[in-house]
Amino acid sequence: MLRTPALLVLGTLAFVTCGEPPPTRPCSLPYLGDKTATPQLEVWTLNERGEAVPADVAHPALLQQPPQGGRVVFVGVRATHLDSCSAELLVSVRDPQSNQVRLDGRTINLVPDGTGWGGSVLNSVDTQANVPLCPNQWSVTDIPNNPYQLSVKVTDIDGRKAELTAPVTFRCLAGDATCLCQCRAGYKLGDTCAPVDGGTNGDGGTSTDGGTLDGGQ
Amino acid sequence: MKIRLALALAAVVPFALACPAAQDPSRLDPVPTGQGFQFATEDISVPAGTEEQDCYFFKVSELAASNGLPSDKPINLHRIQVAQRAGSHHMNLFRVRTLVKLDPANGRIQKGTNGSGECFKSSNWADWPLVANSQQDGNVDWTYPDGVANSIQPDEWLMLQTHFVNATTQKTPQEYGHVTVNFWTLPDAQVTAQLGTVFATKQSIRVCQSNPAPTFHGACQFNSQKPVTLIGANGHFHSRGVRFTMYTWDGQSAETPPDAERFYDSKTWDDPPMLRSPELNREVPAGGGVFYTCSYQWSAPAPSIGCDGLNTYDATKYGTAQSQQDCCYTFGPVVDQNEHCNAFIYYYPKQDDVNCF
Repeated sequence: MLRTPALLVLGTLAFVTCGEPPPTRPCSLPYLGDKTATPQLEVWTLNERGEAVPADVAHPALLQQPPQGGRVVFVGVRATHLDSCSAELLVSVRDPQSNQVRLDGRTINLVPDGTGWGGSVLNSVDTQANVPLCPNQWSVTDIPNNPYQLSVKVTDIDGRKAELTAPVTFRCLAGDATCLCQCRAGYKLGDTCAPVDGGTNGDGGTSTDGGTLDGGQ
Repeated sequence: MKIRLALALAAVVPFALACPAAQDPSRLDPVPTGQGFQFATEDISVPAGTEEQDCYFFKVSELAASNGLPSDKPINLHRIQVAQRAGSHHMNLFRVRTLVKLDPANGRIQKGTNGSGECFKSSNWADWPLVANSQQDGNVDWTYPDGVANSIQPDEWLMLQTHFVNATTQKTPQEYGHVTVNFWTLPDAQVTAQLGTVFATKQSIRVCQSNPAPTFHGACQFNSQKPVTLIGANGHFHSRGVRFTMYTWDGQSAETPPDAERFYDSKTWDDPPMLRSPELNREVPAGGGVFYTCSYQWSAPAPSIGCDGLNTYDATKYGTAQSQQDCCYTFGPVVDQNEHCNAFIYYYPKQDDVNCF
């Protein structure tokens, strides 16, 4: 007589356990590709026309002015065999001479493109890594026209990873004197960069003083 | 007898009730002559439903001369005091460098309300070194370690940026703000090390409905060939922010440093820890810097804003197409609509002030 209620309880518990819904994915985008296949990755950078160009030495990556200032390289990805929701994108640029890096990490959705692949959105820089390279207060060489190493890693919410490392070079937009100035080796914050008619250094006259008279410890 | 007592009380009480300057939370006793100087904002009107961000310009030589210091010599800032009325969202003090659209020639006080005005646009101070900052607890009294000073030249301009909020996530009592700052200086002969600063901000951050728990990582080096000592740090985000961490970093690793390197951990967006020496006194290796992380949790916007409000801002500010609008809090200064991921760091000996975007 006592076994029946116990069995009833156990059966009910089993039903409840088996019937629990799986954890909710944070977005409704479909899975990219095959969950059992090795993840694959392509990497691109954004040029001045808003186009994706391959991240390699044949296509020097453009140093662009982002909303908050300085100069960044926008690095986008395209991947497959990964979950599309809330993937971690981590991009670093390494100076091969000093081994110093600059990096950007962010959580993005890999937006499907209808081919089983998905990734960063071309006209949404928030879905691309914004790697801050200038002001150049980290590299021993001028950033434009010198070799660096780009590393990209995408990790999905299940911990599956796709990685890629490639040599790259960088360039300033033609006529962007501020880029050439802020991205040179040895730049000090507030150094005079723009020409006088750009109206940039006011009456303080101390932009170089700030880097030399009170620094240099 | 009772009438005389009443008359006596009537004469005294008004004076007793009037708040002396010393009890006003936004006032400070002046610095003694020759030991520094004081500067302040005016009373700032912050009506209900507004965010007011104003930029005040001060010439260092004028400030020095106002309190018996030479007007033609650098000042060595060694102790800073800040007092503010409740409602301050932040106060940042910068040294003016490249002038874009925020120029003292356009006025010593330049005001901005609800996101409008040059004082709200961070690109205007992209290469301006940080001097000091505060968050919502606007009271600061920080003396740097012995011999450490931030030397500022007499012909420099300082910009005091003050942001008061009287809206959904924060209130300004009595609808007005005020900031007072005291600089205490050190004689040249006592200065043994220069203070350096780091102002870091993550670009293009976005907290969206379909990507509701994003994390952003950044890292900044001090570019020093020798170890440096961290003596001040705080993080800043708005109400979607759930955790702000900072780690000492070797300048070469691309991964989050181990937990043992974590020296800052904030889970309170509106009252973040403001770590300062002597409590913070942490060595960073040569070539190293700070690695920082901001984590967020999306929540529905206030009904007064709604997703329509966020999407409209997104479209207007960033040109986001309708198909990509996702009820996102984007980078920006408006507390109820935008987010930040900013780190403020103080160290010595200075290699350079660092702006890390």
